[in-house]
Amino acid sequence: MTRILYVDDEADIREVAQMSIELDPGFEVRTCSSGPEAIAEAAGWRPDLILLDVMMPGMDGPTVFARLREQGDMARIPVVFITARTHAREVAAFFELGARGVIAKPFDPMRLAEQVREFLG
Amino acid sequence: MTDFDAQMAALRERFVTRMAAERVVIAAELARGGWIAVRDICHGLSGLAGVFGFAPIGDAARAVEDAVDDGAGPEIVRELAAVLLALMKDADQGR
Repeated sequence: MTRILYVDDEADIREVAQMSIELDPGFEVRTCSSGPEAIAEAAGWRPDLILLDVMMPGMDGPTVFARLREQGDMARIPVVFITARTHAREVAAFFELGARGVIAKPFDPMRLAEQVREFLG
Repeated sequence: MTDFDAQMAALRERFVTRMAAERVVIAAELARGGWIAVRDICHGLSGLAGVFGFAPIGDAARAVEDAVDDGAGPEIVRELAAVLLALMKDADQGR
């Protein structure tokens, strides 16, 4: 099973995302509601891909990403940002940070698993 | 209907109920100048409404969120929020 960690402070969207990604039976999904929780979960569970909301209270997505990059082998886990702000300049900034990709919010529930599969190459 | 469709329909219904409650809160926060509370509710709506087929509500919520983030004046925020509240009311009445 391919492990996907979905991080978003919005409970309803976590629920939809988990259902949507698990439409692909090859994916196992866990969710987290905050940056610190995500870092701890990533350290223990070692996901194959992290989907990371950009705007979260407390610790935002780019900060979580930076923390992951500082922590040994977790630095190699590919991260895809989930964001409503998809202007070219903002997307370019995420790629400059080292993100694997960007998924626009709101996402299409019927396509999310396919998008995740594409980012896994 | 697949299990997924049924689950999505249930979540969509729950979201519509949530919007009805948040409509009341947004109106109250607008009345008392609670811009950050309005912004935070709109942030949640902007990411989620489109997932459930309410793209215009998501767009209107994002416009309010952006206006607050950009420091727009109260009249502009209230004007944008009025559009959002009307769309939310329509969604509630369309159930």
